Amino acid sequence: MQITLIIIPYLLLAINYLSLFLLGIASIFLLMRIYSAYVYKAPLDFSTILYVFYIPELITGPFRDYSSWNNKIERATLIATSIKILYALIFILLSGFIYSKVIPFYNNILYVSLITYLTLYIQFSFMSELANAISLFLGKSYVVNFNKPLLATSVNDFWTRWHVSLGMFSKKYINQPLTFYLSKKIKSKVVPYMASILITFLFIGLWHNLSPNYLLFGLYFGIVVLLERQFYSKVFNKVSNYKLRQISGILYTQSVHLIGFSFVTEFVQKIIIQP
Amino acid sequence: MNIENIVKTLISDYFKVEIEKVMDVTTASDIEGWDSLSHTELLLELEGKLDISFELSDLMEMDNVGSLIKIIECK
Repeated sequence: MQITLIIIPYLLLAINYLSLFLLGIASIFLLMRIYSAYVYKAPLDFSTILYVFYIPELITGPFRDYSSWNNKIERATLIATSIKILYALIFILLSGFIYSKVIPFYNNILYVSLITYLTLYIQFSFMSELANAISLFLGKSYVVNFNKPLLATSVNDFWTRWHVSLGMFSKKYINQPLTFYLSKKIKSKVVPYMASILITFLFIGLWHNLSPNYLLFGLYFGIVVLLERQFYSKVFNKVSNYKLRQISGILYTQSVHLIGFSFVTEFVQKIIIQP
Repeated sequence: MNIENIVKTLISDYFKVEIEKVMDVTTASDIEGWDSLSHTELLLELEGKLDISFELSDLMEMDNVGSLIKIIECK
């Protein structure tokens, strides 16, 4: 039972790649929800089936944890929902249109990465807003998926603000149990922590796509987070002025992220919606 | 001391935050420094102090301080 719980998330990735032909991108969200329901020992009833196949969040997320599935909230009105959907669609299409017009003028990988990254942020966050607007209309709670990631002051902080629901899934179902499990087995503090951070980020990387680029993406961020734990406060605490420390933290984070993002820019360009 | 007090005192001492700030709805992201390593250390300390043993499924169901207390109470 113990080891099964740890292995399952990686099996989910494998099943996801096998099932891509049948279910497309939706399969990984479907599998993550099955896993969450399994952990919470959800009864096999209509509500659980509805949770697993909850369509508004099936294609682009956000991932909704089973623990919050039965939270009832006051339903949003049709007018408010329609406005939110329209608003999100306009931003998604407009950013895609601008992207298609701007990108041919740039060849430098860092410029292309920066523009692709910003467009992805706009499109992905508004897709989450779109899914959330439908959920609120159906009486389901709001799932935070983006929390001002451009203001993150460290890479560690960034991953708690960008694609929050995937970060939450990885932390809750992979990183923390794995650190705990390895700590008991290895009787060391540092090794389990380092191993579980690296494995978690490899999971996050490969979650997006099974390719060497995403493997490198995951490994890169895993190593950066480990280095940050060791050196971040030593370096940034030297800046005594609070505002200056915040600004330098933001600049550092976005620069480091841009380098990591450039590994996968080519792949992301294919998923940007361009009207 | 009841379980709730033991857990909240331990969290308050470990992360050096006021005990009033450790509420049932408090999550790891609300407290600075509460990462997977400190989470593990905290749980291992609770295991030793209360003579209990956490399952991996328990860890996955820990959403906030309140759910941690409930899980311990069910042991």
